[in-house]
Amino acid sequence: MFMGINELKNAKNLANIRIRDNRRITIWLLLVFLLLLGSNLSNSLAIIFNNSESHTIVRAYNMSDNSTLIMFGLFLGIILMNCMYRYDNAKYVVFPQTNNSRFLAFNLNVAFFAVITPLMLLLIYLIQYGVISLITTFRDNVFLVYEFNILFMLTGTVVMIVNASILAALINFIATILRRFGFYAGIFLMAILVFTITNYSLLSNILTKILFFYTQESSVWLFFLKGIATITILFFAALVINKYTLYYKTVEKIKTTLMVIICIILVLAIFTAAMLMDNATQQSGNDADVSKSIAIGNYNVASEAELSLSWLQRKEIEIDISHLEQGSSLSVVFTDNSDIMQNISFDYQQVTNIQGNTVVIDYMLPFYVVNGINVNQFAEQKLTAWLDENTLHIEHNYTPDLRAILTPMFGFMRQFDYFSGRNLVSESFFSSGAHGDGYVWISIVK
Amino acid sequence: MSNIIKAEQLSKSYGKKIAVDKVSLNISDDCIVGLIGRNGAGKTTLMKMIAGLLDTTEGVLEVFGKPSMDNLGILENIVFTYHDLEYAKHSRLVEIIDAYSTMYPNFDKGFAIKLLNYFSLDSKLKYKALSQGMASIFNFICGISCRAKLTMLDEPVLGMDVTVRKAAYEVLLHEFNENPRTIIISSHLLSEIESILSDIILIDEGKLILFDNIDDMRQSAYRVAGEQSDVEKFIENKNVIDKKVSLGDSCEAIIYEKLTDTPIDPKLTVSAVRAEDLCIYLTKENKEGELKCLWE
Repeated sequence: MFMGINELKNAKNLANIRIRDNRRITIWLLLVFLLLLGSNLSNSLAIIFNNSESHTIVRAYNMSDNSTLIMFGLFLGIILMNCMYRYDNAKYVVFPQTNNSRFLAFNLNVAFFAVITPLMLLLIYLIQYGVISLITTFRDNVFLVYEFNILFMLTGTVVMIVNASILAALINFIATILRRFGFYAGIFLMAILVFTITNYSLLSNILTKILFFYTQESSVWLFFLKGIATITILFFAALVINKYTLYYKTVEKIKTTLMVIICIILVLAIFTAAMLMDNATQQSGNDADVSKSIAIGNYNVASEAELSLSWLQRKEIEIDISHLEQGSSLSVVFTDNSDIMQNISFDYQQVTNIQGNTVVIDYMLPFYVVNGINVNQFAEQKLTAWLDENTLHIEHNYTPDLRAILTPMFGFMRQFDYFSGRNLVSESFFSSGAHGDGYVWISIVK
Repeated sequence: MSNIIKAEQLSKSYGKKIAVDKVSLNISDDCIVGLIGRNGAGKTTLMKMIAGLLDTTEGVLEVFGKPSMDNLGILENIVFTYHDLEYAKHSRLVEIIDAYSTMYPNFDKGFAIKLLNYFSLDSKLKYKALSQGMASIFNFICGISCRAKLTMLDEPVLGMDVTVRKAAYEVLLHEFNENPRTIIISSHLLSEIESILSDIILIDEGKLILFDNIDDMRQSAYRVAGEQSDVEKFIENKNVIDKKVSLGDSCEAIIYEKLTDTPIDPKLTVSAVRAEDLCIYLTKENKEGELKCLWE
């Protein structure tokens, strides 16, 4: 056993004291989140109530969706905590403790932040969702784009906790090595930095693969398994190294430690930038594909790929005109209360000399897609057609002044198949949007 | 009486600087020991090693029969406080007392709160807002409220005014009588704590100069004064640790030996040496030449 019951109890008590002492930081963190939420909410509400456009997409973002920024913040925070390991421990030196219990208490304190931050984000999201939901109950034209799903939220919170814990375990592992081997570890990291500069693509590929091992895992359970295994291995490895690090043996020079930490940050920053660049390249490729398919849609050439997108699906209305005299004319009246976002092109053939028994109205409704979701679905737009003697009436209706509100949460959850395509999360890393006109094509068939 | 601390040839060095140099001592339970020495003598280093906050460079150090470092069973019975202890930046006194209460099984929170009131300290004050004297009082309160079997107080009265210092010593003595334990106090002001000490450890430049019962220590030296020739004759073959020749041929010498029953020349005056003065004589460097140079 690494630690006895007494040591575990001691670590728990020490961690409790540390966490209680850090409650000020926790409160500040929550206040910052609340402030950002307040700012975003006021902005969103101003758009909802004041904007005069008929179609408005309100991106009511909050920090819950900004996982990259949150992770970067946590990354810096955990590095700072590790840099201050000795300085911070000096505040608790008067209390009985061992090297192990001190180390465990420190890690429990870090883990507290890794857990409390996602929980705060959940709270922030619930507040935001509650306020906007309240508005939707009073305003018929206001719609929440993403669905509310408790399993999604809870899983997202746990996934974020696991992500943050992996990050914390990794940084802690590196920091423990630095504390144990000090100067030599610093030289090793400098060598890595030099190697990175000279063999950038090779290391970038390796790190991308490591990153994708977690971020491209599509099964939630496998992700948890990988995460817990990684955290356990890194933590116990660090615990073993720490066990052989005599805490009070030497007084390390802070400058050396800081230099080494800066090296780590630089190395990680380079890799992060490289990976983000890779993602951006992939993303722009996807955007191009979407644009292409939309362009094709407008020219009525529907491929299989397009048909898989619900908003590009063609529909048909058939009206029996067998009672009309062959060779007579059919006048078409098209009523469209559409605006600039809802254009429908209109075309027909053979309506001046009827040679058939059925009018086929082939149509596709206009779409307005944001982050993979056609927000026009909330406008309940529909095309109706009826015959009044020799006049064919076609009417396009929808709810005017649509306010479609995006309240995204835990964007990283798009990696999991279980939650993908269920209108719970933005389907792409970057925010995307596209809109296309609809069309009506009238033909008469025998 | 059993030994609480056992040190044999204990040394600690920082690079080339030797902070503690081959110190050997045994400290028994239920006593108040004064650890006396000049600045940089090695008092704090010795206490830190005992408290398990520093590793030893050489020698053996056992506290309650075992090395104290990383031994939770031992460390829970040791408290080591000093005047400039660090706590979390915004901690209030009551919160720090709660933390002590959590970490020390024998900590008497009620007693600590009573002491705060006794010394007129508001428990809601923030630690960082305390003056040096108040911080010293607070750390002293926490130290003795732990009721640890080994209580070590490093310069506990630093910055306190004389009234508070006196009150603190009274509290310490009463607490010791009510709850006996081994208490080690390091201080420069031996004259103030002399009355409550049972033993004294004197160290200088890391070396153990003296470790004795305080009563035996008081009898371990005496002062002899008279005409220089008489004094010179008397101190022959005696362990003289200080000698001063004043104007008018009068002379005074400090002899670091027990006074025997041998008759003394009636022209000589023999008197006791205060414990504090003895410590000064035993540890002072000869800087008379340097002193004169300051005005040349």
